[in-house]
Amino acid sequence: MKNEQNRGIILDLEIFTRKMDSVIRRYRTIYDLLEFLAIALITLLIAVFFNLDDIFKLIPLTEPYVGLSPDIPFFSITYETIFMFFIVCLFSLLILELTEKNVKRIYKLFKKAPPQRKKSQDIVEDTYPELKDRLKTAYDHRNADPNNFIITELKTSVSSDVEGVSTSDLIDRKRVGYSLAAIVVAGLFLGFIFFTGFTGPFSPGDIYDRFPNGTITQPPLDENTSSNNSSSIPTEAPPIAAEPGVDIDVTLPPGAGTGPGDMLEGAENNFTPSTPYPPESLSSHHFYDTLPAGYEDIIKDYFKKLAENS
Amino acid sequence: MEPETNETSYRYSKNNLNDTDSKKEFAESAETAETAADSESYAPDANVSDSPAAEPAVYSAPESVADPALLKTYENAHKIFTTLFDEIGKVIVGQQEVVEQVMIALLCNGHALLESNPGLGKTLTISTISKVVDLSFNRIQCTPDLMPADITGTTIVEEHGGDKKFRFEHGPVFANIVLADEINRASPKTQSALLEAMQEKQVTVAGHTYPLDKPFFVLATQNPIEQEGTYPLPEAQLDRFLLKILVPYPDYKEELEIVNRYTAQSSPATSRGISKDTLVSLQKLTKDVPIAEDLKTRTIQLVIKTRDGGAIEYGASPRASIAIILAAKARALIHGRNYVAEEDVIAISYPVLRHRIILSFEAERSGVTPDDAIEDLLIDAGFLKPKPQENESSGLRAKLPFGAKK
Repeated sequence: MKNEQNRGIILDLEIFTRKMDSVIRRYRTIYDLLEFLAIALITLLIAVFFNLDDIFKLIPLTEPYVGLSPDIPFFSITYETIFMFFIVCLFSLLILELTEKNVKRIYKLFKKAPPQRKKSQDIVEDTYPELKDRLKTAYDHRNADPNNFIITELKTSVSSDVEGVSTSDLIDRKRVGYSLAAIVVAGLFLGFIFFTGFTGPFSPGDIYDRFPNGTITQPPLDENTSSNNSSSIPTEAPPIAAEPGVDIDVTLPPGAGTGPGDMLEGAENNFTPSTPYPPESLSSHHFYDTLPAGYEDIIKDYFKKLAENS
Repeated sequence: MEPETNETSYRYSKNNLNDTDSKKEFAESAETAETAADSESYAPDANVSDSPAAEPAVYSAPESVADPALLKTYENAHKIFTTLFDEIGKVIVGQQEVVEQVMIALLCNGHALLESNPGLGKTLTISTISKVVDLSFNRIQCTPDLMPADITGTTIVEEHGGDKKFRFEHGPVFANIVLADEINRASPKTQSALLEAMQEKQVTVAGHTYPLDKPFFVLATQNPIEQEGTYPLPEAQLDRFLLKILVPYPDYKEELEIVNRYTAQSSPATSRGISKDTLVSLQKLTKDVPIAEDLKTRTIQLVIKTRDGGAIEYGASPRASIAIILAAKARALIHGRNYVAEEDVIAISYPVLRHRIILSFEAERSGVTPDDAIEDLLIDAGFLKPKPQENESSGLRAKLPFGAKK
């Protein structure tokens, strides 16, 4: 009779633990699905807002499919939308995987699921403080000698108390709540974008136009710097780079070349203004700092002779 | 006694085993067991295949009856402890935790070292406990000139009708409870004599070994502020003590009560609370209190963490793991629980570990106490939650010098 009673208690505890394992596993699947959905919707929201589907026009592999729809009866969806959903799903899985806790879960999808018994007992004990430390102790000692009346008493009381455990109490309401809130908010924003067509200020195409070959295109010159406006002709001396230790003869024979002085008199000449030098190009500091002695006089003489000849 | 934090703990609810409802439950459970056995054959499914649930589910021990005396003691345990603490409370004001820890040491058949400043009732507490528990009691006042023979006893020549023969004169160590007062004032030689008695529960004099009475406890006291003329106990001897109990100062109300009690005409007196047999039964029951595997694992990890370095130079030995588990069981029994709770391990970790760890120089210099280090270990092991105020400016990490590894 004593063994029968003990056997019944052992079975009660084992059945309860197995049931809790199953319930907790089911709840974890729900948490995973909700979290995946929340991340996917938020990612989709970001993708739609910034018109990330434009990116498929720029990829040679997907470009031929852009704007086309697969042959699905009663349903129309473009290929770029399908691609985007696919990428969003992959990204969401990646995010989930990056979380340590979820790496284990994804691992479990492919490997044999390790037992969650301890974890489920912890959850039950946390939810029902009257079972704190008792449930695990009774379960661990379920096969103990029935003559140990301390353990027998514990097992009896625990097997009686677990009858009051409601599986619905074990759900992590906060976690579910956060996931649902994220889903609702992301869904509302997506709906807003869908109905109003409101999107972000730029798309991947705009960015691509700015970086056609991986470099920044030179911004177009404004009208003030165009070649037709004579007032914008640069009159500064062209940059001269002086290499230290190398003597450069910069003297010009008087009368050689033409200068802007002729233009000032209004006479026709064949002076062709040079194109504006690239603004990013700067004169070497050596020009100012290490101008060799005597060069300054040479330059001054040059301009004097130029003035006298003119 | 510490207030019971877990209100749902079981206070010896023996009726669970005897009442009609329980019997009905048992019968139903048995039916369920048979039904389930038929339908599932206890085949471990994929989900639980590698869990302990997959072990043979049914214990097939032959039916036998538990020790009735032990069962009776267990049923009366709550009453026994209540009586015991009430009796001690007649003499000792406050100090519930100290009294509880001394009782834990007795239940674990271990020795205890009480440390406090003078005048806090260490000696009174121990002598009161020995009076309440029906055990023989001897007191040894340790001094630097105390010799080993003064403790163990000596062989004397006795003359009977002209015949002379040697007779062993038992020393004060031959008692159930030995109070070694101010143990750190005894010379190392004398302390060593006590060491054999504490560990082996026997003494050897002139080549003869004499077993000590059972149960045997050494309850020692020491004063932490006196340094001159003292011989600090070596680590090996400290490890023999199950618990190192710190006796705190009483608060205002307690001190007022002490003054009222001890300035009246009649001094408080106690009567016998429990017998030696009851104590032995309680010691047996202590070992039967179950502890969850998870809790046991975490406790061992806690002790192993003491050897990881940081603030602790030398960690605790495996003896500390045994001591924590056993003392936690005793505490659970005293608190009327039929299982070890996490709070038992937390409460008992301090007195078990504080004399078994040696702090690093940096930690000591920074004012870290062994209890600080133990608290930090308990936090690391997940037993305690970090205190909200424990940030950069407080706690052990703040006390440790910059760069000290935790």
